[in-house]
Amino acid sequence: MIHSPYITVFAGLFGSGKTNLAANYAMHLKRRGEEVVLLDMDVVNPLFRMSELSALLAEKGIAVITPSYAGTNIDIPALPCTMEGILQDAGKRRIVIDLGGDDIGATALWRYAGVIASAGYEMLYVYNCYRPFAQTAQEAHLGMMEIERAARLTFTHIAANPNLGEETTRETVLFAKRQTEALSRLSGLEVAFTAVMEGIPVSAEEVASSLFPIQILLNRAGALRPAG
Amino acid sequence: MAHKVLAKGNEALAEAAIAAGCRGFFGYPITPQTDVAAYMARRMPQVGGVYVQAESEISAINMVMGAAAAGVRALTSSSSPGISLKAETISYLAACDLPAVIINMQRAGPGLGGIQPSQADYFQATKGLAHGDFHLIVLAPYSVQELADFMALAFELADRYRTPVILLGDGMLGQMMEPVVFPPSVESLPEKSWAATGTKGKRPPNIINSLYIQPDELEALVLERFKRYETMKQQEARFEAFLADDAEILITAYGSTARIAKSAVLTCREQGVRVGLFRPITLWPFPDTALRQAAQSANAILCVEMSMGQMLEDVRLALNGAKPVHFLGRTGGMIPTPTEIIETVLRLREGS
Repeated sequence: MIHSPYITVFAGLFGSGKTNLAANYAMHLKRRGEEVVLLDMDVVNPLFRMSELSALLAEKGIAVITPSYAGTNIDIPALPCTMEGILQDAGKRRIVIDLGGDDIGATALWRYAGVIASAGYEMLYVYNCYRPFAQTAQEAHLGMMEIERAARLTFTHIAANPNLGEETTRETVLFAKRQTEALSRLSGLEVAFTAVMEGIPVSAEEVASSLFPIQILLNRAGALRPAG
Repeated sequence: MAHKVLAKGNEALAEAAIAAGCRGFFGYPITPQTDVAAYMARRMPQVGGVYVQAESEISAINMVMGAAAAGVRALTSSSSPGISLKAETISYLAACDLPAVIINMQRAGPGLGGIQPSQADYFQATKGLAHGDFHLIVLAPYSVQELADFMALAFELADRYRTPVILLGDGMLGQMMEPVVFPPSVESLPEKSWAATGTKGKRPPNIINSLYIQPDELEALVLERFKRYETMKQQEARFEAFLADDAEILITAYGSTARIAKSAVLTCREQGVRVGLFRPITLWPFPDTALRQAAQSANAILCVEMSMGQMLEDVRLALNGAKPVHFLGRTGGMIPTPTEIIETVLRLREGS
């Protein structure tokens, strides 16, 4: 799929699916027998965040480091000091970073840009063309450049994540191919993979990239069935 | 196939407001609704509207008042503590019969409380919100699609009755993402002959005012407004009754709690337990007649809220002692689980 540097960063626009993808990716690495630590650097989103998956991921042997006040009743964008040490020790294990959305969320990465760049990294632009401000490749590319400026790191790949939540179908995924290719041309970045929910019948040939099967993990333990 | 977008609740509110012809957004950031303002900051300039981040919530609602007085579809958005700050001007809006929409994506209280979801502002929203004799229409969506649809409805009702309308959600609804189809864009707004748009020397001035020197004059105006409230009660009470017809236990819940309650109802039904859900969609006017009808087959009512029991009082008033009404609430930013609801339902069933 993608080569194996020590650090993999998932960044992108608000709600593009970074947290779900990062958690699925960490689980994928773990299944391959690698040691993984997940750094939740999202300091902008109050709900539906990685800390809600901590127990599930811990069960699978994946350590999650979350912002000190994640999931609490206050809004303090502080990252724990352990993150720096983990990044300095890159090489001992695989590090997956889940960044907050947009350039605002990406700002948290800037502080670690130096140590990440010297360790070797890949940074994936998570792209869901069904989201507001991402429906044209031009808009999505603009967002990409804003994030790069804020993070002080450049993207290495696109991670296509075309979905309409619970209503995602085969057509949803196939219809997105044109948009993803347009973004790839505009940005000059390759598509690392297309993330597809398990059970949706799509082949790698049809989306012209490798497939990454994923599960939807963030749903408040099934509390919310679709309305209707 | 209609064009679908995967939207966060807060984004859906903002885009639907633009589709409804809203061209004035005035806000001040507060978690968990800041995305509404962030979205508006990007989109309003694209549609020739006005986005202002005011210096405070009080300032923002006063800008809404100015825009509404000039006939513009105007919107402000906040979360619980911010709504308390807006209260005085909301009373002025009602007193001046000005249409406007106010979003409250509730967070935990009282005081600064916390940023997690809550429904503890039910009293505030439905019982007048500020000083004086008045009501507000209060709409309570429970999905991202309803956030979009009810935004369109909110502006329509605001103009039709010349009243402020509250869209009452919570942090969970604002942050969750679902596919949504936006209502069609409103092409022409209803004419507002009362708006302060300049006489151009052709008509007497329209005066927007809430001070009345003669008490009988003020009383007559309030009485006229209460006639309008009666019409609203007759025509605008909205609700959803879900599997209520044969229910032994009827759950009452609104907003995101109704969503969780619906999960519980479906699980109970799968186990052969006859449970139903009554979901008020307008919290004011409260659908009391419909609730009485929906509760006919029930032995007991279970009111579920993210509060210590606020809608509970309206449920009890509507049923007026006809059925025993029980309560399950979580507060402080805690969210009830389907399991707690199911357990409570089963306990009530054994007891009855």
